[in-house]
Amino acid sequence: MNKKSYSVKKLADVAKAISEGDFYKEANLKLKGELKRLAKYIEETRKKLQYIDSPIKSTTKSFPEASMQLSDITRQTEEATHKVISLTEKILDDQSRLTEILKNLKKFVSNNIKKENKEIKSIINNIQNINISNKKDLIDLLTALSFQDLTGQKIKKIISLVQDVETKILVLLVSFGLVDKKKREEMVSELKDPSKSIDLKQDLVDDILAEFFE
Amino acid sequence: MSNLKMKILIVDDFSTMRRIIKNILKQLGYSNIIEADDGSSALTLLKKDKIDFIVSDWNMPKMSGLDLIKVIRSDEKLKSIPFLMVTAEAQKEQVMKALQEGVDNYIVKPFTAEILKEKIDKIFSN
Repeated sequence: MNKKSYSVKKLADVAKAISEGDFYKEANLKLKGELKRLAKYIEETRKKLQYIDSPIKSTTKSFPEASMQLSDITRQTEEATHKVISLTEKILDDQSRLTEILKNLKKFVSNNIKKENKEIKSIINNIQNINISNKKDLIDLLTALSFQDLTGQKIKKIISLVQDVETKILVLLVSFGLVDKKKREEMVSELKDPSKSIDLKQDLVDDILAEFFE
Repeated sequence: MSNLKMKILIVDDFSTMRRIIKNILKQLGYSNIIEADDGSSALTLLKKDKIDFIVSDWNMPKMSGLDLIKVIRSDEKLKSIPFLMVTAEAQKEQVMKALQEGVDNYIVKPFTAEILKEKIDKIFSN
């Protein structure tokens, strides 16, 4: 039998099977099998998603906490730096007063103590030199405190990065998880809106978490 | 030479940095100093007061130091005010950008009181 006549024979068999109802029986059986497999797949995926839910939930809740901890570091170092600046300012003020006192003392010694004032003058000069050196050290100490600005700026960048990653995860969650298209678009647009304050975004985050996990 | 009585505006979003710069300027003999925490509040002060010299940070919320210098240099009344940028941005391209926008000098944080004095002297000797 050649190829052509074989195909014709096959077609004829199929036509016969359809006419006798066997084809639908077979098709129904196949469809049932497919649906069963699909249902099993959905059930398995649902179970797997439950495992994923938990890390996403805890991760999404950890992000604001991480940002808060970082903000606390900035706030605490800022407070400590202000304290050190205040004390340094006070010592600088005292140091200025001391400069004035020493100047007056030197003048007084020159005018009133005629004899043996060389030694007293030398002592005053030494105190003046220590005072000048202290002033320089205090100013160096002040400038060294600018570390707070530099570390603060770096922490700010990390906070913004953490918030960015959090937003991206939430956008993914909403984009792939929400069936309601209108609600999905609203949430994504709100999440991406840079003008929204952090607190407002936190409300949105809570809405999303409620939508997905509660 | 700079006038010790001139009015100086310090612009920085970090209050500690404003205090540090203010203290150094005071030790250098300047006493007429006001502060702003970003470019936009600096502009409000600039329109209200006669400012002789600006010491500004680059990275700030609302309006950056770079945007501030752009506005100042395009404003007839403000464009001649000397402007010193004090920032953590130390890349060559950024320094070039700031100079192109019209800053008179540039200090990279952290800096010393000597550097601040040297830069101020340089700005006012020109």
